[in-house]
Amino acid sequence: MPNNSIITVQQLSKHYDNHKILENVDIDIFESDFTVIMGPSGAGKSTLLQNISTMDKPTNGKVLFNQQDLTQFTDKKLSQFRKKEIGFIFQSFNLIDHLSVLENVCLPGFLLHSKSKQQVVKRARQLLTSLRLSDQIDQAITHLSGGQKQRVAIARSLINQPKLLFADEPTGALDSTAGTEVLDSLTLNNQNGQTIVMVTHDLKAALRADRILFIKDGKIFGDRKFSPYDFDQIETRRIEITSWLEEMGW
Amino acid sequence: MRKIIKSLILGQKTFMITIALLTFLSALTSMTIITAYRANISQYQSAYRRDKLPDVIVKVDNDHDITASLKKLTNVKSVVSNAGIVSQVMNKNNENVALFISNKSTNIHLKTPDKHKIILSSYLKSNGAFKVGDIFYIGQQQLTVQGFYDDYLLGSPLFKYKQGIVSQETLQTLQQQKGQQKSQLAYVNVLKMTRNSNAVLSDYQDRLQTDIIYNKIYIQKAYTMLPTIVALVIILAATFLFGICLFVMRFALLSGIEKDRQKIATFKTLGITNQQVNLAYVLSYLGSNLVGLVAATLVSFWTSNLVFRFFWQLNGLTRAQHVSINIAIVLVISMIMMGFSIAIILLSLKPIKSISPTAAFHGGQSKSVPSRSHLSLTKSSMPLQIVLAFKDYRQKIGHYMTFTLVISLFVFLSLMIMTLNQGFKGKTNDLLGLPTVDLMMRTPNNSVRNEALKNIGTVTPIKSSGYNQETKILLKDEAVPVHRYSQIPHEIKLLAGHQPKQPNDLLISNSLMKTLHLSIGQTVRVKTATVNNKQLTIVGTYQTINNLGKEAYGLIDTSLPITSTYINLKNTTNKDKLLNRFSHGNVQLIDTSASTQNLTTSVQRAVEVLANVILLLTFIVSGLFVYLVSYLTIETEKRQLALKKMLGFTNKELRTQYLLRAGFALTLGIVLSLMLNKFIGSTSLNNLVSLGGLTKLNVQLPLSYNLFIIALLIFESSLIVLIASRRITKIKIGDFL
Ligand SMILES: Nc1ncnc2c1ncn2[C@@H]1O[C@H](COP(=O)(O)OP(=O)(O)OP(=O)(O)O)[C@@H](O)[C@H]1O
Ligand SMILES: [Mg+2]
Repeated sequence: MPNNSIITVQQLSKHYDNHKILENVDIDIFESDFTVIMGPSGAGKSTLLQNISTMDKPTNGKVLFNQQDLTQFTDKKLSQFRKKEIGFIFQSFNLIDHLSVLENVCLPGFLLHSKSKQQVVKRARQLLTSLRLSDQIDQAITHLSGGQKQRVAIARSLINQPKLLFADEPTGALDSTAGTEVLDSLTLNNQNGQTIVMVTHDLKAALRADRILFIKDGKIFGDRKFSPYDFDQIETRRIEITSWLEEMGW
Repeated sequence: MRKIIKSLILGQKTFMITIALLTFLSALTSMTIITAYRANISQYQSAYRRDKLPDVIVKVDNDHDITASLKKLTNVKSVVSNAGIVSQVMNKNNENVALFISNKSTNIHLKTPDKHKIILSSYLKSNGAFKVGDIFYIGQQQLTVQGFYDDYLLGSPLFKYKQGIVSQETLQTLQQQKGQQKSQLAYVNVLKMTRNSNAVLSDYQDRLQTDIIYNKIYIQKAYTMLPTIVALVIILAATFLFGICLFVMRFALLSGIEKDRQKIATFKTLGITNQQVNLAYVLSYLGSNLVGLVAATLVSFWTSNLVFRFFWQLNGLTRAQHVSINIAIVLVISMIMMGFSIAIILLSLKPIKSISPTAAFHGGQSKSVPSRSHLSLTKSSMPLQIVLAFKDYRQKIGHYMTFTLVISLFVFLSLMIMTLNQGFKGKTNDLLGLPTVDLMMRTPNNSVRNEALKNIGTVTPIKSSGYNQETKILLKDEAVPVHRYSQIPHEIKLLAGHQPKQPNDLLISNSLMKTLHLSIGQTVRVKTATVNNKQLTIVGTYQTINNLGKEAYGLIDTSLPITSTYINLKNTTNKDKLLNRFSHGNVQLIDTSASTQNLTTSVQRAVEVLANVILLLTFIVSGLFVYLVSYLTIETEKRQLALKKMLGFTNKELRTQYLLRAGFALTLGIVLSLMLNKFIGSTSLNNLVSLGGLTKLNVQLPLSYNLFIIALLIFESSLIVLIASRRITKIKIGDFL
């Protein structure tokens, strides 16, 4: 059964000055998919992710969400979209340094005003506990390790239970154990029905995908569906994905 | 090295310009004022020498030549007498001017006026009292104003009499008129000058009959009083400006270092030392200072002359000479400023040491110490916006404290200037040491007096009136004027003791108490014009308002003739009409405040102009500063703001938080300034004014002024912060992720 498209990108272009970074890109992101975007450095992966997720505004083209063009949203509608519908995870965490772990996680929840303060705090604690951060709840961000920070960022991105989660190299700054932990929680979220779009260089991260988009020279160079992630078949999966990626020129 | 400077500093062009501008303004004002002020003194002194002006002026109200008796005194070198008449004349605007009219002037360049024409001291032109061709009458004699001349001796608005010069022939015509008060000024040069004019002529027998009206020191004080007050106010403003400049420097450095953390860290990984980074900052900041200083020095060539002319005009003189720049002043001011700048720069560069090369890999984010916040987002019941604003405020407390301090300095300065302005507006008579008496009346006897009082009352209601005697006593060799009233004026503020209750009680000014080593309760033996050995008791002391005055007050002495009456009116608008109507025959009505009225207006006008200029400057500079702080706070927070946008904050919410923070800082600044003003405002104001030769200035600024200044400041800064916060809208999330 084909999933519904949650985001439709039409003829998206992004230019910086006269540099064409992305040129007439068309993609559909399907609901509940774990889509991974790969490609050489400088190919425009981050740019694509940011333009899809309203972090940046494309030079041309449309990004449709529920038949509405996100590129035409007003400031108010945009922020509503950002706090309600999406979560974002970065390579460099991007937490607010002078707030505590709990405050960082709660902030988008408070901002949405759809739940009471107590409910938000309660959910934040649950999330942090499930991410094994219960001991760090009241700590300052600056006192955490990279892996811990990234898990806080995940908790923050999940606080409003968004349909869509964007991640730009979430494991890029982490060692392999910490990276695996982060990926595990992303996979778990995906299995619970969340749509994930992740940019990565990391093969281990790419293995989590059930679809990989390969970007080169500002264009979609390859687009391939895979079966859902299953730890027990990790080796066959690795071979399948690696050979496809090598085909793409990775 | 050049590259380091470029890359670190170029991002701070606005700051560099601001610093140069502030240095320029404060250096320019202080150089200008000090140069002009010194020129005012030295040019006056050289005029004094050139024109061989007297050390002491003795005035007698008769035409017996007193030259001979003065010449006999031991300390006297030379005496020139100048006979003339003292007359109160009315100008076109019905204002009274007390003139001493004679045919001799100290100004050697002056040509003899034509018949029935008069040449007046130039002060009377610059204050608008007379112009060439004006006609006025002395008795029946008509005089036409032929011209004006600079009168170094009696030209100051501080002096009771302005001089007018007529020809010998005209003077005789005037003197021959009936009822003209013949007067004589004796210009005395002495062998040795002392501070006290009475002591200079201590062996002068007729001291109690003559009026030793001015001495050289008094004249010098008179000529420097107004410029001193004006200069002090401006110096104060310049100091504030420079203070702000230092603040801007510190602020710019701290935020610049914060912003360039990553860059500096990167430089360090490349092996550049702390010293090299420091040097880059020091050089560029001092460079800005230097640009301002050089520009100020150049411009001050021009402004010094401008201000000097202004001072000269305050003194009632018009022909100002060219003032050249004083290298010593320029050097001293530059060194002081540079010294402070270097100190502040070095102090502000401390954080550079603590930037470790690893900072380069943390995206340049400062290792901000998480605030041990009492306010938790998750616990506080206050609105999210306010809590966040407050937390951000605490995080950037350094920025905002600077903001706060600057705001409070500005408000404080403005309030002080306004208070000064207000003080001069209302109470100039107090400042000049004159109890407010609207009119003095001389009558030959009581029945004429009562008749006249009744007549005056029908034109304008009289508030109070009483007898008044101006006498003198010789106290410990000092001829002290004693103002005797039937009721001591309520303006006299007692410092100790009580008001005189009997004719033999004496209230003595505190300065006289000090110089003569007297004390309350002491009985003193004095000589008066009629009694050789009279016993008086000192019952109290009062604060003299004018440093120049060493006087005493007492009650009417009934053994002396009572011919003077003081009159206070309920309303003074009809004063000139009264003077016209009732001053004839055996009733002489004199406006004692007329002679000081001009001074009053001069002081008021000068201070008012200044106050407005400084207020304007204050608002411009504060606006500039508020903009800079706002700009930089946003600049250093761009990343955080982008992050918040990413989390779903609307631009409006972010701007609100930002405004709230500025609001905290502003409120704090205003509170601080009000406290400053309350506790040290009046003290510093009084010190300032007393340095200028006046003592007490007890004015309280009306609440409405406070509110006005604060409202204006709030309006201004809100507007600017609002405008600056538009940058928040322009932050693109994508650029920071
Ligand atoms: N703000 C910008 N201004 C100008 N050019 C930009 C900007 N941001 C990105 N670029 C350019 O766009 C191109 C794509 O950048 P992007 O960050 O999307 O690459 P990427 O695929 O994410 O690379 P990497 O794997 O190294 O992260 C690069 O050539 C980059 O130089
Ligand atoms: Mg990238």
